Amino acid sequence: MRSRSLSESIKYIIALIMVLWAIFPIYWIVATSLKATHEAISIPPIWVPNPPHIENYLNPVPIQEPYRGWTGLIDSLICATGAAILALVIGLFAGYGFSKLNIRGTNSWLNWILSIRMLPLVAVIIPIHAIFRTIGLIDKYPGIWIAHLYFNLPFCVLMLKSFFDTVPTDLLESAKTEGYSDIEVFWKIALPLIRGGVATTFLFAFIFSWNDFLFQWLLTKHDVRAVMIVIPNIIKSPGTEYWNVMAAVGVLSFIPTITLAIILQRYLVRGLTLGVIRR
Amino acid sequence: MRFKVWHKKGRYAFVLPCIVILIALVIYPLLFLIRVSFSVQDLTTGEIKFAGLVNYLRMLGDGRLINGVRVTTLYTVGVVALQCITGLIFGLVITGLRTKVQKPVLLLCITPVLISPILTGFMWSQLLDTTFGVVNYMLMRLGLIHSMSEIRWTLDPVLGIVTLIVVDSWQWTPFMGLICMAGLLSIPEDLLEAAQIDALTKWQKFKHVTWFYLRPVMLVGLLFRAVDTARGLDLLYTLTRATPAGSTEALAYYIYRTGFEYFDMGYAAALSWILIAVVSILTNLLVKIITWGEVR
Repeated sequence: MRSRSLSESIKYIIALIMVLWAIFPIYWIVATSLKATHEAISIPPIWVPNPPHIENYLNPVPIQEPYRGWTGLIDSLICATGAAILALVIGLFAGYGFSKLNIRGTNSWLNWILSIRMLPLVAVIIPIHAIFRTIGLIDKYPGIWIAHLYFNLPFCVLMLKSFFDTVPTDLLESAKTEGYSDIEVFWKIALPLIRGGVATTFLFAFIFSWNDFLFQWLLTKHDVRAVMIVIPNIIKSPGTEYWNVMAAVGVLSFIPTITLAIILQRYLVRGLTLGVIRR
Repeated sequence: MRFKVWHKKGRYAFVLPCIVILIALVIYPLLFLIRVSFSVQDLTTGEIKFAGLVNYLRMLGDGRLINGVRVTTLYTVGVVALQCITGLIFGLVITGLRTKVQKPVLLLCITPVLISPILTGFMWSQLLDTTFGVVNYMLMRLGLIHSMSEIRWTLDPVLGIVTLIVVDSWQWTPFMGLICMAGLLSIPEDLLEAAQIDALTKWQKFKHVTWFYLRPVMLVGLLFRAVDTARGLDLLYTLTRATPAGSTEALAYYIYRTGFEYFDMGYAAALSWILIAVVSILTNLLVKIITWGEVR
């Protein structure tokens, strides 16, 4: 019995170390974001900022003209919401089709879609950049929405297909015999059954878009500036010594995604392990 | 089970928009990429000229390309090896916790996955800084090093890659851990009971029962990680971009620089095909393992 309680406590110690390891860097960026500029780089480090310098968020030193922290949040919101909705709508129909409609060559199509999810975006951005410049999609929201389809559309199709797989086919067939049309079966029977799945898919597509660097960095200039590219932008220009202000932008950028994840914790695991585990 | 009776052609309308869009997103840009790779832009006039195999021939003597392939290989292999182990520990430890504790611990440990790689790199470059970084400060206090700049985590050519691997694992271990947990859940209960009755040791049980169920899912998860590591550059951009002489310049980052810092699109396009080839090989492996059927 003693050895059991010993191995039990070792397990809890490891768990504690794991939590600290995961959380400490996040704690540190939050702490840094509340320090004065000289405090952020002081040795010995300041563990708890006192008093907290909220002004890093509200009215930071002019390291970048104009400051894009808060407007970046709005731009990110528009980019990510639009991109997620676009991919979700197309993905809903396709996911349903591949799951329930006996499409010829379903497996080959799904493999192909998975391989698109794996394309190196740095290769794709070269032609996309040139094409978008020709047709005037640089620095526009729709440009970002379309570009994000590269990772969001395959994700949505595969994810929603796996959710539609859980809907019993008998149910849909009996609805069909009761006189529902094809589209009604999809819209009125199948879709309401996977509401939770749709919400999960949407929120993950949203987070992927929100966290994207390459497309938002290279396909926008002045009009659209997502919060995710504010830090690389500051690093590139003079002002790198303002670690506290950069940290504040960083915190702003992950608050929305972490909040969503907490709301959605029930579905988190499913969304994160898509393609690997299907149930 | 799929529908037996269904409107013949109408059902294709469901998948058609998706397929058409994906074809448009893939085929045309990739053809365009081929064209770009055969051209050279005159930087003074901006004129784009057909250049034949010039860009491809340039690759033959390019030391940075060889270095890029080397870094990408080391980085990817390191990530896969380390996260296989850390993911396994993560999964086994969290599964072993009491239900009440399990949920909050899992939620806290998952957080890194939700943070963008670009921000992860920024966070860690701050922690690992050689003048004010907390990590070196702690090591100094513990008496393991004598000066703040003794361990140059992100600046040292060799250590740089190790740092990349460790920080990447900070972010993605929870992903592998979740996969491991799902694999553990898929083990039939009577099998575990049988192992109990046969009085297998813990190690035997792991080797003969647990690992049998874990292996397939872990393999797929690691292939996902391999592809994402090989094609990614976000983390490098904020974490090790300052490393001297491009010693942590992975292939993807080299392509980015060639195209968008030196504006040599033709050569960047040619280089892209190497990365696409690498990723395709990994993806093919993945597709061979994954089955989309309703068996599982």
